Amino acid sequence: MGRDRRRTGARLAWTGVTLLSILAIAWPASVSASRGDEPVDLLREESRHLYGPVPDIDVQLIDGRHVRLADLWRDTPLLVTLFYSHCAGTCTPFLRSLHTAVGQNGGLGSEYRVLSLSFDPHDTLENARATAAAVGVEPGDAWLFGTGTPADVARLAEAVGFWYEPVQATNQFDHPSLVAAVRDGSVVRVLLGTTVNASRLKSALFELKGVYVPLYSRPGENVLFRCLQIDALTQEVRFDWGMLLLVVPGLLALAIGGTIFRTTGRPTSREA
Amino acid sequence: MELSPKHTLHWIGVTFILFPLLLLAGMFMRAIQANTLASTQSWFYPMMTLHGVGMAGLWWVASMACASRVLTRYTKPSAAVSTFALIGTILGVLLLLASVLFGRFAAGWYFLYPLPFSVGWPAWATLTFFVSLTVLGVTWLVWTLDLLRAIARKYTISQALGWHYIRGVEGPDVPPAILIVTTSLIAAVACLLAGVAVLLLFYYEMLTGTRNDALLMKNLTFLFGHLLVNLSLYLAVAVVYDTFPHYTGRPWHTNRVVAISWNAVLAIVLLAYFHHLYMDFVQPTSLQYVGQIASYMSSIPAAVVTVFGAVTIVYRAPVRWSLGFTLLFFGLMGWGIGGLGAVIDSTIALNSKFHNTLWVPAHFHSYMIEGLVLMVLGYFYHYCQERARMPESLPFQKTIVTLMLVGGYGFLLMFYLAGAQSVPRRYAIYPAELSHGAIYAGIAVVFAAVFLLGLLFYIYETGRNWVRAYGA
Ligand code: HEM
Ligand SMILES: [Cu+2]
Repeated sequence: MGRDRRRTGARLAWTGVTLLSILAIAWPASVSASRGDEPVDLLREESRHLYGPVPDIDVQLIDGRHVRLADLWRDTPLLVTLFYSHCAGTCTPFLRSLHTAVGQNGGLGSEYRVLSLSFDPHDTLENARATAAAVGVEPGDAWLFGTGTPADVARLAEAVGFWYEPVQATNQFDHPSLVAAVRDGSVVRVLLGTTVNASRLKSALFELKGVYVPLYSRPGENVLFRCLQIDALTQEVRFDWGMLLLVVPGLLALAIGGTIFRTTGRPTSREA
Repeated sequence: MELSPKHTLHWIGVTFILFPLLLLAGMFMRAIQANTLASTQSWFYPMMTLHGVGMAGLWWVASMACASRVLTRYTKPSAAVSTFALIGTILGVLLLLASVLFGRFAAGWYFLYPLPFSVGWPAWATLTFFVSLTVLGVTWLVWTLDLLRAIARKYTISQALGWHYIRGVEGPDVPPAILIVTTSLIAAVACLLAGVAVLLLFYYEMLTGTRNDALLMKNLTFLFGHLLVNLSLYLAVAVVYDTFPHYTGRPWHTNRVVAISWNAVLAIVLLAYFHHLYMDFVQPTSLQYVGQIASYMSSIPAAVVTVFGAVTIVYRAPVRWSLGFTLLFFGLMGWGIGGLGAVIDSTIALNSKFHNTLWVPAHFHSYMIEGLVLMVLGYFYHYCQERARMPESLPFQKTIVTLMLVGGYGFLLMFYLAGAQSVPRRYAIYPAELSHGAIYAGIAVVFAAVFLLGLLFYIYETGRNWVRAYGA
């Protein structure tokens, strides 16, 4: 009898083990499947490389000087962007919008500097100079243009979440557009998107000064069991189903506890 | 089949293996913070996760094992379920180790949403961590339900909760341990259900990509996490109530005040966890006030009644201060002292200063190391010694307790001092402006080593009895 019970315990445990192993094997497959076609969440993408280290690479500026990235960020914080000079797509418009947003916020040169680096191994200093002219930037100590060795640029790109792939048919690169804010050798903010918005840039500039700006995504529409809803017009906050879910464990526990006491047979007090 | 001594001895064995290892993980973290092992700093957060989940889980099962053993004095917990719980717990621990050691999963002991989905470690590590928690949660739920069933075999719910004491009517004698364990186990069902719910929501997001509500996730996580730790303490306190009379020779009865204070715990303990969300601006303000009041009401009355009761039955009693009783006594007092630090931290005006400083680990390590741990170790010694009766050397046992008290409180003091000077928690390496944090960390390592030495002596002393009891 005793041995039987013990066996039941072990059998119960093994059934559990088997079930969970099956789940464990089945899950990762479905996880990766579902990740692929999920709509990209901007803030999640932008947060991926936050607080990661930036490699201290060697950069050749368009006046021919070589500088280390660390020497630059030791001096002032940096906004870093990547481009290639014969881009027929977003590179120049993107840099122009950055130029405008920087102008609206001010502080360029005194509080921070911009470094625009070409990721195309074929770009020469001359090409980079042409891009600066197209963007309307007077290259100097405040806004630096330059190139680096392909390996170095690849490391930098990886650290800030940038990527590029040649497209043979068009002789162009496929790539995102982003500006990375770098303070003391770490990424403190990444702004993704084909144009730079002045108010988003402002929060990045605060981060560069060491002022913490909380960054959070609004949950959006497709969220399971929200606790609260806010009316965008009236700013009125209402409770939603999620709040109700919070009392479920407690109520269920009382119900289960009550049921156990109600249904468990007790020997009469004289027997006990 | 009845719970045999081996069932309890197995849990004691597990504790003797895991506690020193998890303690070393804690010393490792403090050493990194002291800049002595800086080259291994990338292991800080995986170790913090292992240490946190491991300790919280270990002391929960250890106090459940004590409570099960105490229940056998009055009723019959199932032996099969105890075996099931042991196997499930070991499996859960192995999965946890795989996730942290091979996958470097590092989302901290309460894996706050959406951190587990971070890219700092592979997806399989996150999954393994969740599966580990699922195994543990489900196993413990079964265990909890079985102990409730065992109590229900003997008492009605109103008897087990001592309502006849409150109403002042005739009824059977209900030992305080039954009252407190019943209270704790009903709350534990809610705790574990909340844990299962939060895991289901995580799985659902992994499978479908549908996002979760961060506020809901945080609330559910702390309903689970706060309660698990809180209830471990209450179970250990129940064990102290039951074991003290053995040493003092005076009975410790349930009375009206004791019944009221533990029923109050049951009524409001599910609301106290709101104090973990004081800094969350979206949490409705009313819940913040509920949290503060519930934090006070669910801890102060029960603690005052218990400490007062303990002092009364010890006062001038002809007590022999052997290892078992001494640890139980200091554990109970440590719970009271640590509770004070906790109550301070659950006060909104102070929490806004102390939140996320080392004051927080200071207070919870207080009632853990000098409360829960001592009470459980005291009972483990008591149980092994009762079965094996090896001769006791009181001077050696005094040395053990002294080492554990000096080492433990010294270690805690460093957390408190650093916290009071705004040193943040969960920093692997302190930046230049917080360099004093590293000094406290260095001193803390020394004190922790003293505690560890005491612990090893304790394991030797109890282990002698354990081996003989196991062979019998
Ligand atoms: C002498 C023994 C111990 C040492 C040396 C130790 C050390 C530490 C350290 C250094 C931390 C990180 C503090 C920080 O945030 O900077 C920590 C966190 C923690 N410890 Fe301990 N500890 C010990 C015992 C315990 C015990 C007995 C428990 C529970 C029963 C426990 C539970 C925890 C938990 C839950 C955390 C939080 C982890 C997190 O933030 O995710 N510790 N401990
Ligand atoms: Cu382009």
